[in-house]
Amino acid sequence: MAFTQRIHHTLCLLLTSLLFTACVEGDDYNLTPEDNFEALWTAIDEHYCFLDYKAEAIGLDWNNVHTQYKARINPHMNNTQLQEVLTDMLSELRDGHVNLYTSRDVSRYWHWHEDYPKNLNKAVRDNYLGTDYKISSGLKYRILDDNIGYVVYESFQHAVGDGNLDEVLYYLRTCNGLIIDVRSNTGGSLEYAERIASRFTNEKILVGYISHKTGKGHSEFSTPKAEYLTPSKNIRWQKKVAVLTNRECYSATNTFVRNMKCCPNVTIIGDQTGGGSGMPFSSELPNGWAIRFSACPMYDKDMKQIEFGIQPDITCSIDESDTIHDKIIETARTLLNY
Amino acid sequence: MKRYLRYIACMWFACALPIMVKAQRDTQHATTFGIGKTSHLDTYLSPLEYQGPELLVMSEKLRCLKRNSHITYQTSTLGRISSADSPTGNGGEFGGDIQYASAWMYTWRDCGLQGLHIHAGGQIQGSIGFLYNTRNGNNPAQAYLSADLTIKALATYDLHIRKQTLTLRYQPSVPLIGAMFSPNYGQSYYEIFSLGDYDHNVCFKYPGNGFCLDQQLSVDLPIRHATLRLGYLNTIRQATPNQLKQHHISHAFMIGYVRNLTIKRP
Repeated sequence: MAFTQRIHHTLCLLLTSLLFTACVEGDDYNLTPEDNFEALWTAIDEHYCFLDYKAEAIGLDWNNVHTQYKARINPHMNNTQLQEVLTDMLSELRDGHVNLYTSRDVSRYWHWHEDYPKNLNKAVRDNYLGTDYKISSGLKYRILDDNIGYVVYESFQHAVGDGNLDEVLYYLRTCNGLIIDVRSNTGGSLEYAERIASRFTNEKILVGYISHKTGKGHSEFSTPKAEYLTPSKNIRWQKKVAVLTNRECYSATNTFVRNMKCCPNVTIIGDQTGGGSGMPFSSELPNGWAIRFSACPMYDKDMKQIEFGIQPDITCSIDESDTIHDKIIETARTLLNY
Repeated sequence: MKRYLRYIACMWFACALPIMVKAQRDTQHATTFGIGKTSHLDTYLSPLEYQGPELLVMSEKLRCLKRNSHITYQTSTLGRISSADSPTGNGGEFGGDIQYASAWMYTWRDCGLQGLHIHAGGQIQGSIGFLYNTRNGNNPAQAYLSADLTIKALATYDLHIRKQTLTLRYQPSVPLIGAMFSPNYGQSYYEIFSLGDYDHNVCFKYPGNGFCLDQQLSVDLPIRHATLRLGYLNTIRQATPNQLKQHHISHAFMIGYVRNLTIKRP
């Protein structure tokens, strides 16, 4: 009996001591404008991946941003006013991957392309495609008069499979060169960016690095992981390629351009890309507003930031007054036929 | 031919019967279904706590290793699915998990009180599950995979009311040490599964970084030849892997049936 009692006492003591260990709870916020402001500022402070880089590149001081915008918060402001202040605060990050979603509006920062020439006239581009172009999933393609293959890919959200790529490349196999026009493609899936680029290399090549935050500190990051482009086992293109870019090439398109820039026989022509090299994560505020922010930074093969875009190999702009010719396409045709 | 088969069967039973009687043991099988309320917190998906209904099904088997042995063996399988809403109601999460546990316990019969039996011992348990957030983009879901060593106890008390015997049961279990899968603080699943970048994805667990408790209170009611089980199941799962915060707390009402079997096995 004594042994039994000892066992009982030990069990009771153990269970009681375990009950006093801390509970895992979320941060305690209310629905007030102050608390929503604090929740948003803290979410960016702890999770956003470019605070250190942007402090260096554009002089961002996130603590100073808190002081500056906290002064604009008052307990009686309505949701419209609160969203306006929060949008202004997020704009300090100068990041197209940062958004605040409410039922009324989507807060955004689009100056990365709005402040620059578009370098794309879709009506002119449609002249090159004509009316008898082919469509393979998200890829529109045809053979131009000078025997150059022309492919337009408008969004990386449109699925492209290996079967689509095989058909397109086989159809264009007799062309002297290939133009891939990703102007105004604002991104989508990284999987398609990798799948398409894998048709333009015969060897496994280093294309960049990716890392992620390992803690709340602004400089807590994992060791960057090398990203390699592995050649496709299906049809691969062996001739010259021109990739056309403008300031609206963003996110996954930016990554596609980064990958293509590492491939042999590939020339990037047009304007600098828009950037957006942070893979965005989602979260939300106590009042239910959703937020999006860059979480995992991606770099080029030299470990340089590409958040603000990638320079083309040949910088070129369209002539806005020319409604017949697209100077960027014409530059690519000249290069490929040379 | 039939006569030969009948003869062989009789011979087999005649030979096997003494062994079967010697090796017989009592086994209790219980199957219960539950409905309850759950709350999820996983800061990888959202800093907010989501709450909603949960459906459960549990199967338990309890038996002595040998007849009149003091060692009791219990296995339990628990499956659950849940749907939860954010506090403001404009976000949703769907979750599910399956948990399997095997426990070996020492039994003290009639300890201190007639009809009070106490079992206590250790348990190994593993679970696999997921939580999907309907609003998120590149971090839409969290995968859960864990293995734990647990201390487990089971107390039963036979309560005699008139000619009926009700069995009251209480069984708590507390994981002491274990390992679990988790993405790193800001790591994407794209890095893990597409690039094979593993970074502290197996995390050590102990009560200091997340206290967990399963406890079940139930009563077995004999109704003619069947036994009905009514119970309350409380689950507290907490963890803080890679500076992320996770908790899953549920309260469920359980109802099911119990079968007491005597298994005769050579």
